Amino acid sequence: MKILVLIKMVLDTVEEIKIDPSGKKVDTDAARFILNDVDNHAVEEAILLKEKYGGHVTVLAVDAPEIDDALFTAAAKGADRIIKVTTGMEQMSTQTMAKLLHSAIQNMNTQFDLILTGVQASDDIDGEIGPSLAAQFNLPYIGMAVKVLPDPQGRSTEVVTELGGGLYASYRSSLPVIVGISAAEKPPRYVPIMKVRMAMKSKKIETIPAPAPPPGSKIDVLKLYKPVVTGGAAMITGTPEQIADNLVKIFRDRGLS
Amino acid sequence: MDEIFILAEHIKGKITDTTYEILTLGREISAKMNRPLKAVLLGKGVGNLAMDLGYADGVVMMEHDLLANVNIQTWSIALMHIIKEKKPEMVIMGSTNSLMGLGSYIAEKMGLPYMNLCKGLRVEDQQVVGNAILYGGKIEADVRPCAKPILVSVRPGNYPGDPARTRREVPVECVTPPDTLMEAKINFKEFIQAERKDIDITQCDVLVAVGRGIQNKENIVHAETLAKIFKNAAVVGSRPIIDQEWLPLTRLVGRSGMSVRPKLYLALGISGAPEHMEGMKGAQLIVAINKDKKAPIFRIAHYGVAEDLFKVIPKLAERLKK
Amino acid sequence: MMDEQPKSTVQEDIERLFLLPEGQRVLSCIQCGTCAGTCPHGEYMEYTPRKIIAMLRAGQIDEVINSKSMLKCLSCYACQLKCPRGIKLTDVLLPIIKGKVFESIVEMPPDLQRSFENTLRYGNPMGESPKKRAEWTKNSKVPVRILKENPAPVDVLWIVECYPSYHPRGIDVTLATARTFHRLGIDFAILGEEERCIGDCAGYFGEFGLQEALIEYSLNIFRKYKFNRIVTSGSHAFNTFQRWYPRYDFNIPVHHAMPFIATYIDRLKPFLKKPLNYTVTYHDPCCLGRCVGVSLPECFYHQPRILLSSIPGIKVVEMVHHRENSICCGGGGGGMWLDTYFKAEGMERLSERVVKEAVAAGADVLAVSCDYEISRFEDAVKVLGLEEKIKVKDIMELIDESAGGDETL
Repeated sequence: MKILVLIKMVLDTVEEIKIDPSGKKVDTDAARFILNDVDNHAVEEAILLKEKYGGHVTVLAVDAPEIDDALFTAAAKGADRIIKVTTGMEQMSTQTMAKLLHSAIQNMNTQFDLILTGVQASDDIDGEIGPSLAAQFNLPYIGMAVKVLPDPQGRSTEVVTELGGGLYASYRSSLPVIVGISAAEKPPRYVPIMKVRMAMKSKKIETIPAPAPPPGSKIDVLKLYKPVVTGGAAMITGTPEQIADNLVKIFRDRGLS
Repeated sequence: MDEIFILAEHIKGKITDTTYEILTLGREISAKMNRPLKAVLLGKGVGNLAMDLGYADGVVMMEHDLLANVNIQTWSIALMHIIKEKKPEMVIMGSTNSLMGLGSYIAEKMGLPYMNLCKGLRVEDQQVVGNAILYGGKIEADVRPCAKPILVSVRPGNYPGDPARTRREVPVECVTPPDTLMEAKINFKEFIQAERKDIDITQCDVLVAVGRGIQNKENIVHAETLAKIFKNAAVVGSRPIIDQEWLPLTRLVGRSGMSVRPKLYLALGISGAPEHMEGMKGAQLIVAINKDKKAPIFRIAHYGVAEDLFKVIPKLAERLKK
Repeated sequence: MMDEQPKSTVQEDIERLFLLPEGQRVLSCIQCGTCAGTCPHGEYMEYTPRKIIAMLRAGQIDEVINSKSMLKCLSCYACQLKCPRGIKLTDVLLPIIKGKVFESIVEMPPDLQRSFENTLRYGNPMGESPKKRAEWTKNSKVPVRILKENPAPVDVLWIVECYPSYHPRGIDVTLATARTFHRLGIDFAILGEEERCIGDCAGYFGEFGLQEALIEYSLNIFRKYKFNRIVTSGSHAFNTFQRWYPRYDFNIPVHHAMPFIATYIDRLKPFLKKPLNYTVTYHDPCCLGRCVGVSLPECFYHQPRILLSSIPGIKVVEMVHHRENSICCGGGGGGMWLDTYFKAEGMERLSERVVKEAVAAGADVLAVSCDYEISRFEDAVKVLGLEEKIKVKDIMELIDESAGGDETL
């Protein structure tokens, strides 16, 4: 089975996020980037499928700060090919990235059975990678997957998605299909740093140069800003009855009761 | 033409809470832009649900076996067809698990603007502006579409659903399913209800959390009383509570337990140890009740009550029950 | 004669290591079981050091590697101290076995996994922003120099370490330490944002790759500045400097903050004016006792007691298990992040054992010097419901309290 996993880096929110002077972009100079958590699950799911059914796993990403680490870690976990698309473009919206990945994948000339990606990311202001690619490739898309059960001979797969509150839905799709992973069947494994370092020495990240794409986004960012944060809790005082009244009002305003 | 559409979401024959929330939003937009509000209803045998969408001015319905249960592929084919036929101003859908990917797919296929991750919409000079939440809530963005029709995805929990729960008869326009529906490669198989020894607290809307201030196991009943009044709520606890086995491990919130992001996290007698706060600081609304006004939990809570929780909870329960 | 089972690669690897002199000593074990009896987790370990050696001799080491028994080893050196053959159990045998376990472990306890991932990424196991590592200095009434801002040569490079930099109780101790350094006229500076975990627990758990990465990072930073010696508030860090850093040609003198200020006891005494009417018992941490006794000529058992006796009004009592018999707080060898796992295995918390002994000794203050211990013991005090009976304080806090804290600066 040939599996393709698409990953991307997102801003690491452990650090303070700064908005650049234009007010329309994030200041990435001092920012740190981390692998999108559900993309890590997508990698894990791909490796689990490979361990179970055999096959080949390719991990593809658009070049971004700290992506090399993520790619080598994927290789240390068992990915066969690790590839990044270089454009020289610094920040791009998700839809623009999807267009870039689309042409890169087309040029790879490989027939993939399964394309996995994390179902969403914290900067998906104009869409998600999975469905955008599905639309471009005219492939079916299933999101919020927590289990993938392929039947390679039958050229189909079952996918279980989580609807929330303990309810799941099961779908059957023909292959190839693009699946947005919400959680891998097992929590992403830990790779000893030694193994990642060994991967850095023994594996190479293939690069695919691509021209900077035209913006794929049909929305304009007017401005970015930090949400108004009051310092600490707004304290509610009074008699227990008054406090309770106040709380009920707050809950009702939020549609909670 | 140019109407405000919202996409009705239903699971197992019931309209979802989020649908009512976006109906409320849709009504706001419809009033400001002076356009009719219509609810798009896809499914099979869902005619009876049209009345639940009576808060809208009308319902646009498409029925087919392949639309019976939400399915990104068949629903996107259906919705794209409806958009082409009816040419709405915008289609608002909830950012829910079952609809994940729908807006994005259609936006790419039809070359339409898609405002994702929105917590709200407003109208400025007859133009709609989206207010999106990025990076886990750390950054907000104002976004504007560059073309029409506009697709919008709105996160649950930002608009009240109750005002929209009106049942009344509204005109239903039926749209014939397109032939392309049959080309769908994804089939819905079945629902699976997870067998859980205990509930998954990460899926709860409301968590009533107890810390050492609850004093003993018997007092946890106070928290349970509250939890029963809210919908989709559960009682959880901080480490010391679980350590003393007053609650099972499945109810632990914090570094060693679950990370939760409920709509409401009601912290009772929790001081706010860093390890605990790690697990719940992402909650949408944090209300903390703790006798100690210096308790660290007040740093991250949205609202705080520095009062004896045993005095406040009974009053709160009384009023909520009404 | 039955065909012998072919040796596994793990068995072969380990046997190769035992061809070295220290390794040969390991194989001279007489199977007395003193190690198992001394181990604080002995009753929960499937494979105590004695059994590990027996399995190794029987060519069955794979069973040990595939079990999760090694997760329970806290690297507290209790076994090594008592071994009548003087075998370097904690120093040699256990890290090798743990290293192998680590390489092949299928499901790592999530807390521990997160602590490693956080340490690699953010330089601290809590996952706090490295940029906030020196936030505590904003609350310091004494000046604290940060080398990046002022790189002039300094006498003491003070490595504050992770818990003392980020944890609220750790910060209490750090501020007290800063005040004490100031009173003693010590010329010190910190690395601030540039400081990262020194690399302690990773090594004792078997994550040598992470430890190497951390050590390399620290050595690079040290090369940037000129200083005479290092003083650290991290007892695990102190032990790492003694135990692992020398392999990297590191030879700067390193002190732990507590014995360090004890060397200035004469200069310190005049400040200790306020009598503290506490009955104090001191918990000897593994890292300043048994662990360090391996690399240094002496352990730090008498310095804390000298400091305590110098504080007017304090009465010192001893727990049943003290000095070299002290019971590990449970935080070593990765144990800090395995509490949930240990609980699920039905193990009694060692920190609770220590607190009970402290109360039994008649103390109303349990004094510590290890940066992991304050939160562990305070947790135990709460769980046991003993808040009214006993408080936990770092020795640096007691010294500072007697010197008047912030007020007499």
